[in-house]
Amino acid sequence: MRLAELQQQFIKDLTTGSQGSVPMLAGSSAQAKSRLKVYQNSVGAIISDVLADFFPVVQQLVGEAYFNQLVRQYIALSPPQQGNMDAYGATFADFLAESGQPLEYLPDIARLEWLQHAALIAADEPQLTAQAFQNHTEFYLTHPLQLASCAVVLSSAYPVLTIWQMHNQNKVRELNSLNQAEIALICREPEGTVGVWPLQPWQQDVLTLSAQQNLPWSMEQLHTAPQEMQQFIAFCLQRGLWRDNK
Amino acid sequence: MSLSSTTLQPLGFGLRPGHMDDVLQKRPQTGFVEAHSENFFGGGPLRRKLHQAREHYDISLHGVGLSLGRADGLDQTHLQSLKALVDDIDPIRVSEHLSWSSYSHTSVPDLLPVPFTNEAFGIFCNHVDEMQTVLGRQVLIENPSNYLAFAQTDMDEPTFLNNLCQKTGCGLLLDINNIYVTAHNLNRSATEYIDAINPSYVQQYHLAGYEEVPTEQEVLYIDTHGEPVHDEVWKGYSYTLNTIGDRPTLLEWDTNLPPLERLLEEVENIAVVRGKTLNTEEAA
Repeated sequence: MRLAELQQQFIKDLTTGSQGSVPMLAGSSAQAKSRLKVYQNSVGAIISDVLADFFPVVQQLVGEAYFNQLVRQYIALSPPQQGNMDAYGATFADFLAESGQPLEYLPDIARLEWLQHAALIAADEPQLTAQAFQNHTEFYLTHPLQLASCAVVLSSAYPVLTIWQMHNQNKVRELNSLNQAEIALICREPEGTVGVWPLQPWQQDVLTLSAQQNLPWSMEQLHTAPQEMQQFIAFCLQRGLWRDNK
Repeated sequence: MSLSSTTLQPLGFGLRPGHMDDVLQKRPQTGFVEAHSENFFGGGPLRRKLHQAREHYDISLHGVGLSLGRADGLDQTHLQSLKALVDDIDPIRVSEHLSWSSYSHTSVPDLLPVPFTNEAFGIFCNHVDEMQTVLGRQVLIENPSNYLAFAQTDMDEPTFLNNLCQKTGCGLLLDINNIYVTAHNLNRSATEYIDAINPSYVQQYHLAGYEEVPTEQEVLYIDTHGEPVHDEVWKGYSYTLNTIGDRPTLLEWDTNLPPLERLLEEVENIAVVRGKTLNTEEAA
């Protein structure tokens, strides 16, 4: 048998639980199945651990056993494609949305957790600091300000940030309704910690519009109060939200 | 005959993300540290910390995901990420495994066994050549732990590895623990394996702990890197030192990660076993 055929069958066995490669293995059929199972168990356990690390609140919400069951289904449908496991799980939220699992907000919790992971490993690039902004204010007020690659905004129809904080940070927060939309800002701050904060709709609009034109133009479009705007800009600079494009 | 301590090769430990802050803060004395390449492909704080570690330690980079044994072409994105990391860190050694983990568009996070056929040998040589050409340096290939063998085979593992080194100019990273795990699982002789390896190709050793896992039919050794080094592996290390000679030796501990101090104790144990074997007096 050619190596390509062997590997195609073996890797299919590992991701789907089939046993088609058993005739290619040395030893009795029973022993070959048992040894194949070692690799099947290992692959399933490693991927479950990786995804539990990336999606801790998703795991908490559904419980370890059901989480592992979902992971097995996910592996069979969308197995990893790269040797670098940091890249695996980007479509887990979409899978959860179509998996028939009962928690309607769960896919957005998964999105929130994936974006935190992505922010943590995003490529390093200069983040605009308050000092740089102060030294070259005219430049930054007349040019578009793009979010850094380690910063992203997530809009959800559910109170996704509240739910996540209640579970991940043991924050006692009041959850009045599941139909309460929330916007979350995810950013890796300059010292390396990934933080998550709630955003108001006007703040999300400021980020969108200032990326298109500039900050003063976004204020004009949104009729934002100068004091609120000043506080928000200070917040963004402190978190290193914008890429320094000077 | 007693060897001078100046001739002894460095000892080190696997630098895992869970120990990174502790290591940077305490800066324990050690000969070198080894990092898993794929843990540092991204940017951010972990990559910055590896840079900080590089200021204090020699670093070797050990890959687990390039899948040199795959029947189709190497993942160029992965290879370029590795090259960028190697160029960035300037490691003392770069290593990968005699294994595969990807084929076509599917990849699994495990070191899968290579069938020791002439076809697989030719493919593996081509991929090692490609890796060494892209990185612009020699790489070391490590023997993995195996839990099964394929029915079709043209040579044994030591022959595969010796021929690989002879044909591509790569070196060997001999994992003593993996030799004993595979020997137990596949009912082979660990010492015959060590005897069959050409010493001139061996440039580094790995030591680690395995776990004994009972199945319905048997007890298997599983290479978990989650326990202290077992007695028979210590004996195997002594045997290897006497057979092949002293080489830089690294302790791997990946699961059930102990406190850094416990890890360093185990590195100290390497020095003790080596000292007794080679009749030297040394500290780790």
